[in-house]
Amino acid sequence: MIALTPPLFRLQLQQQERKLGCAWLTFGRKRVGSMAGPPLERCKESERYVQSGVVLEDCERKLPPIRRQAGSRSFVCPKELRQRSARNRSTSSHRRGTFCAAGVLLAVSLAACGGEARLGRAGQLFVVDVTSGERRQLTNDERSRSNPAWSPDGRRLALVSAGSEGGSIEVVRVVDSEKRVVLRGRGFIEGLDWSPSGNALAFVRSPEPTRWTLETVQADGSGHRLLARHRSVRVLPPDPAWSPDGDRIAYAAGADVFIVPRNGAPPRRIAAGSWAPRWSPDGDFVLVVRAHGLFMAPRAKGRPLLVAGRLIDAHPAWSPLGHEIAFSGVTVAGDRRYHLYLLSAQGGRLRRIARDVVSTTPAWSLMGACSPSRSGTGACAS
Amino acid sequence: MNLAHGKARRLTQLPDAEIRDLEWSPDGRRLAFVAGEVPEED
Repeated sequence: MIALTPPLFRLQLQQQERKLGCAWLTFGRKRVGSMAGPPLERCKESERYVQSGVVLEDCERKLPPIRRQAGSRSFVCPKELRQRSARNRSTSSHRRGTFCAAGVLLAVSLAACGGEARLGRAGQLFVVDVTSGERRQLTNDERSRSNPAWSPDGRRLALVSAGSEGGSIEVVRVVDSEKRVVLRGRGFIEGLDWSPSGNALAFVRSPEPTRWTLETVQADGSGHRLLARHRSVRVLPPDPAWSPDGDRIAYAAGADVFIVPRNGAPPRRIAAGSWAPRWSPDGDFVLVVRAHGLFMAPRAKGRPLLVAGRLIDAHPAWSPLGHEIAFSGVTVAGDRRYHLYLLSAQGGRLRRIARDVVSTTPAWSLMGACSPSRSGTGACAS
Repeated sequence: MNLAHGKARRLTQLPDAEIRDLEWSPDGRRLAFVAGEVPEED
């Protein structure tokens, strides 16, 4: 998914039936990038919708209130939401939502209706307790927040804050909302990722559309470091990811995946024509997505190994123990819809464990143990 | 809460707001999210 910091970027989507979809990335009025991908869902303007609540979905009823119309490529939005949408005139094309599949509670993005999106507007940070429903607002001012990222100990949230003078990274203590500005500066910031120790943050900064840097900063604001510079039109997000031992950061640049040591040594390309790096829990491999499949690139030198082929699109996530990989994806042999699949990290046959999911990365429950369910569709439980 | 067999429920709601950037806490007990006003169409 493309996620950029507001307010200057716009994402324009073009839907083409039976062909690859196209997305144009524009900076102001200037087109700065494009991408091809799987067919995008076609939506009518009247089917734009607004989802103003967070809903924990029943496993048996995935993703209401949005449902797919049989035999059609359109999302269907319930009447009341269409009416609400018309009132609010929303144009967003991405929504985040939640669903659970066979026992695993997953946080996902909803690919929603709308032809043109303005990504970002003033937003504030909230935390809600899933059990009690108690909600707290952690920020409340004129700045716009985005990209919240939990610290590994769950006590802090890092987030991007944007105001008239530019962007910054803030760290908010959850218990009392105490806020610390960790870094200020020019450019758009995104891709916040905590180091495993919780001492540092990696992020990507774009002073201009074709120039961006991978940087780190200590959580107390010290030790700001620039690790890599790139000049390219970023069509896919760099997705910086710390290695489990915290020594390295994997990221995507253009259509290649790199690893850069946190000590400042030069980055090394580990996989060409790849994106969306995900470290294996043992840190020995980086799972990457290529045009036609999932591959594991060794942390040490070596060619990427095929894990799953004949895929049109995939958004993978390692199980916590690294034995399995779950992904939302579209297969060549399938019905061109996104389903949730599970496979062994050693490769082998795909198991479809949920139908008609959305095109984003699933999230495993804490323990990630999986076993076949009574229905035979697969179950994962913590 | 048994999520495998539970009914859908609304966890929280902010009228006329758009909720995005949902992130699970590491312990799986909380959700962080960003909510902002629904934008006006150009």
